[in-house]
Amino acid sequence: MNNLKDAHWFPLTSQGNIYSMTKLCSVNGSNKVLVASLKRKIYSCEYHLMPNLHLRPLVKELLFTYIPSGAEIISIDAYNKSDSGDGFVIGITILKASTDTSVERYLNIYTEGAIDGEGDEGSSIEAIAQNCLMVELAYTPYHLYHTILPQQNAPNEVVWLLSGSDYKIHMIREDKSNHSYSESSIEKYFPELHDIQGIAIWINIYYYNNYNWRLTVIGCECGLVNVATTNVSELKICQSWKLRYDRPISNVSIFSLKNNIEKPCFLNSNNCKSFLNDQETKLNILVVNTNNAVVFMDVLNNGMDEDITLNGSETSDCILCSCIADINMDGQNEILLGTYGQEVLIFCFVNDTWELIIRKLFDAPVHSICYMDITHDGMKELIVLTQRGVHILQHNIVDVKDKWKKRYKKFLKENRI
Amino acid sequence: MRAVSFVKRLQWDLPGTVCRYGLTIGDVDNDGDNELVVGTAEGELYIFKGSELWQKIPGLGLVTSVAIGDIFNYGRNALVVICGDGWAHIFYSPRSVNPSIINATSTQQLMKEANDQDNIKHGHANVDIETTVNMTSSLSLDQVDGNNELNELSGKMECVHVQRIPTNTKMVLVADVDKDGANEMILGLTDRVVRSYRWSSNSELGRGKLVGLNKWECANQIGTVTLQHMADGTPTLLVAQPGGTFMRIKCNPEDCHLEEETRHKSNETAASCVDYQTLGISRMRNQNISTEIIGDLECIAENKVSNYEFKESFKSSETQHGKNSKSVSLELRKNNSQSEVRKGSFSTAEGRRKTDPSRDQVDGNAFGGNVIIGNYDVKSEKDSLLPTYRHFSRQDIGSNSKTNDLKGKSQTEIDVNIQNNLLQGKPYALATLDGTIMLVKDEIILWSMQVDHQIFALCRLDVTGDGSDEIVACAWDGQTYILDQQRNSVRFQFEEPVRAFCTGNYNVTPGFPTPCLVYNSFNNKIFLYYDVTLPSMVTKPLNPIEELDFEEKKILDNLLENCTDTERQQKLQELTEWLLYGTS
Repeated sequence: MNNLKDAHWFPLTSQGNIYSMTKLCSVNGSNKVLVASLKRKIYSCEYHLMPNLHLRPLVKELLFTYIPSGAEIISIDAYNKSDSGDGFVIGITILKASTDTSVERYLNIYTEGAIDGEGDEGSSIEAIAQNCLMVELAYTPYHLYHTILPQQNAPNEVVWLLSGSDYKIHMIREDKSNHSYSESSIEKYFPELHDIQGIAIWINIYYYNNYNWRLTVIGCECGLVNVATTNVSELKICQSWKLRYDRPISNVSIFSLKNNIEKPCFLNSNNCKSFLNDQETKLNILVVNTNNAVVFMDVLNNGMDEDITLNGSETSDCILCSCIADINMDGQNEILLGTYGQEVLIFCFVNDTWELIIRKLFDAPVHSICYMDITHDGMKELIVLTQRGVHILQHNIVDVKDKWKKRYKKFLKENRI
Repeated sequence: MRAVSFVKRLQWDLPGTVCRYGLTIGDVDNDGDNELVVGTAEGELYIFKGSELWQKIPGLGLVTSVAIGDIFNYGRNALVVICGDGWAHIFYSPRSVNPSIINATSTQQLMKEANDQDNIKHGHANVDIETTVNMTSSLSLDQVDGNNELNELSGKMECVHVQRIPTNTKMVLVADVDKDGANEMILGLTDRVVRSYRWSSNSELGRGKLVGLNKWECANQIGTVTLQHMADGTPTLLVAQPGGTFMRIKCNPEDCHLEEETRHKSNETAASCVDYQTLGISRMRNQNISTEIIGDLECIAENKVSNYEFKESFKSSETQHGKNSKSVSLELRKNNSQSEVRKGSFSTAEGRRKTDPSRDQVDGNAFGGNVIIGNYDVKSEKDSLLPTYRHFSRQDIGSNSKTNDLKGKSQTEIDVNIQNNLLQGKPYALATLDGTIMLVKDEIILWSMQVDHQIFALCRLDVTGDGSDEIVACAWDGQTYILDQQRNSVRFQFEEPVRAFCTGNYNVTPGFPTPCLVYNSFNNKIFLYYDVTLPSMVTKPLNPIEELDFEEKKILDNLLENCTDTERQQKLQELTEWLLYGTS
């Protein structure tokens, strides 16, 4: 982890928040990161490979339409609705004080326009930014989240989930016939998200067992944590837990210790597809309240009984964000916590406990962390949004190259090529 | 442009105004670790060691410039503090067990004020021949001894010499400029004059003084004075002049006699050693814009590329387009000689490193074999690098005898290599206030780039750790550019306006010097960013294939056969992701 080095940094004109960063993952492997700042400016950052094999960072300000002057951006989220191409859908929640007493709140959804045969033009991010559908909100928006709505006999649909100041989570779904988005009743699709009695600061939903089951966690401002397992086809809550902390919950996250990354099919000579075997996957839940972080191990079997407090997470001011990533490339996920004390703390699971292995200092409070491949070389970069700007940190190439070579040789030996 | 953010920093309060050259990093007390020395216009001198203020010396007058170097020429550093109101102070750490002369002088606590009247009188009478004020007998010895013992334990700096010099000094440089093996002190004045001095201790014990050698007048305001070695090893002074131009002064030892009778003659010959370089397109630049210059940039590993660029710019010195498209034939043709040159430069570096420890050892035995770059005679113990700079390579602390052996054996060998290497001089860099940064070698502009910030300081620092110097240019608004000699650039934004700036290798923890950027803000604070390192100046993607064996590569190619380039790229990405994150 010490081998993470500054690759790039760019400043923000105004600060963001914990909902300000999202990633745009294209099918062809090129990824971008979108960062919103409070005062209306939205930047995209990507890397271009130059002819001399150097990488050049490209930071652009994106001009999204229908964000009036004076409006403030609260949250941003994006997903790719297409399996084969780039069909980005970007959601931005904004808040605008129209008069002294009233505020207007909107969810702006940007998506590609009607395909008019122009090919690429309709799907470029600049074109998407010009194509807006607005949903007026009667509440102040918080976390904007998207998840899959599994459906029988139809491709899975992606819906927006938006937590609001009205102590509810709202589901906003595309109405294809009217070419608009509208709210549908949440208890019909997500009974576990109905009636939560708190302002959800963070939502996380994890589907397992081939989309037959899902695990849902909600962290609330009042310190409430709702956990539920739901049978998706019957829409029945199977088990649920309620926990109460005396501090706001800033982040919740469901993760497994191991990442299941499919072996590239061109490596398999006998064409046997290795399916993910997630019956055996143990799911853990990370609950971050502002003071410390707690991990509940193997929730599906143990319930919310086996909790491990991350020792040392209380040493660096208020914890604002978290990220689950295999940052040391050992096949096992680490927990990264970003704090108001300008640090990223990294915890590693060793000997049945989580140990603080690295603290890395940044220039300002850390609002959001993301571990993704922005350079399209297969190696992921750590992207850290702080109050002042965005840091992109790259692993030391030489170290990773050694690791790559070693593993490639091992792979060749195993396959006796 | 790539930008980075450095976060490891130290911060100190520093009441007072720091002049542009009023701060420097160097080993001021000869303990092997580098300190930061800052002088203020209010007459206070601050020495920072590790994470703390180590010593504060008040009452010096208007400090405009400080330098750390071997001004006494016996292999140990002293601190030269020059005041704009016409005083030169020399401080020395009593920790040394070196020549008795210094101990004799260092027992004296100087009280300048008491003798002010007297000095000023002398100073007025006679500006060129400076009066020494060495108040050996003005204090009772008992009191002084007590002080001294205290200081000797802590190694704190003591004032060992104060002298009246002409006023309006802007910057000071301690370097050997006439190839005589002894260091000179070079002053650049705001009244367009460059002066050189040498420490003379040939009078009675403890009675040395700085003796004026030369005076050169420039046509215009002086930007910076820097040392630059020519292709044959001759040291020259480059004096930056407005509009991105400079004056070059060659001073030979024979021109620098101290005797009065030769003084007149020497001034004449000195004049003939001055030339003025306008660097090609100087008319394109603003004639009145102030200029910074930094000489003797190390380029060790990157010799090949810079040679190449040198050739390239020969062909088309106006355009910068050809930089990336390397012509193969040119490279092939030059391949042989370049490998020679590279070897040469490595062994030079090697030789220099080997000799350096002999100067840094704290046992006082500072006289070791010294290989001086270039095949001229060694007159006394010193090498030809800038004094603040030579302490940075301290590997391989071997015995002196070993170094001597090495010297004997490999002298001729090194000489040959050196000649190879130094057929081309080292590159030097210029920057103007309007934002032009140029890298120049043998008076040919290798490249230049334009930034839209007002650059006021130009320094060197090896941030990549490859042995070649990067150029660090700092603008008034805190924007800092780090450029390597191949024109790759990295930007760092310091968040406040900057009053003074310097770079160097500072020891936050003893024994581990790290590259540092030092900023003095207008809010009376000093910020020292330490561990300013970048693995490389450019970001590159992970490309593991280039290092594979032929066999392994073939297997990979088989796996990826029948792919278009984009497919291949995607598959490689998948493979890398799987190898790094899917296996263990």
